Amino acid sequence: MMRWFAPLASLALLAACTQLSPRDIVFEDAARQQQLRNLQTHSFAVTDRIKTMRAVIVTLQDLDFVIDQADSRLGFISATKLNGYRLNISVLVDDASPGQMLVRASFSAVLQNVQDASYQEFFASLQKNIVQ
Amino acid sequence: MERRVAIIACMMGLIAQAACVPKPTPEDLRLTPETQVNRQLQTRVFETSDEAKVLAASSAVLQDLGFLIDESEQQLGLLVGSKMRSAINPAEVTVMYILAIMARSDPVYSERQLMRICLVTTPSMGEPPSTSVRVTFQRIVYSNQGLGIKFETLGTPEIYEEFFARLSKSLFLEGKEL
Repeated sequence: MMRWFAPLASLALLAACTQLSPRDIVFEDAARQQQLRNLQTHSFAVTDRIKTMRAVIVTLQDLDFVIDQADSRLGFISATKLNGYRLNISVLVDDASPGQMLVRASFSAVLQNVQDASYQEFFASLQKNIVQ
Repeated sequence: MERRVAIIACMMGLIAQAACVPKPTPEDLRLTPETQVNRQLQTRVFETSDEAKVLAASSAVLQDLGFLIDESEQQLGLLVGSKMRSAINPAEVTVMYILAIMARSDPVYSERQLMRICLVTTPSMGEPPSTSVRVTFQRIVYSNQGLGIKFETLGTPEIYEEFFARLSKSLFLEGKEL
């Protein structure tokens, strides 16, 4: 009986140490949120929201994503890329600032980290299709 | 003893497979020279300025092919459809059953596949005015245990050619390459 106690106690301790609380999962780290928001947001010197959304769709198709949903009134597009992995993206196109379009993209991959440099690559690709 | 060896072999196989699972990299989000080639394969241009008519004809073709329309957004020229079909391959099922009997475990094999299509129209105000149509396909294969086991983008030149031939018939217009 006693020989099982130490391993079980260690496991319980480990589980308690590593599990995030639901509150932590919902709100996450504020500093990281600000850093991510900066990475995820890019402004373009264009004024037509629909044209910008169409450029986002063209870029996503260029990058082998298939669109899941799009709403032109909200400026929202979601898409998925399948390449052995499953990478999801949500894009919000916001024309609230005069003379420029704010595009915010967020990636999510099931049980895998998305590197920060992915956002720079995505916006560089989008820039090429917005200029055309 | 034999069972232990089988279990250890299975675990080593799983670890090796996990190490080989592809991961998304920043380079996957970069436009390459291949992008332009794919775009040409995936796109046809129709001599009409009536984008709504092209979308309506496209949705009819998707339905003829057995796709259910999941999403449509006329202002963005977007149609998204999907269909679920069998992915059972008798040879694969036989092999997996034999392996499962040897390892004394449950067989895992491809059972269903979800095919997805995304169609996007883009109007051009050139002379003559035209509307381009671009299609892309994806597939997820699910195992008999309900897990996704294959995630891939589909698209051979033959698939695109046959799809656009059907769309041309539906529109009564000839589709031209980019």
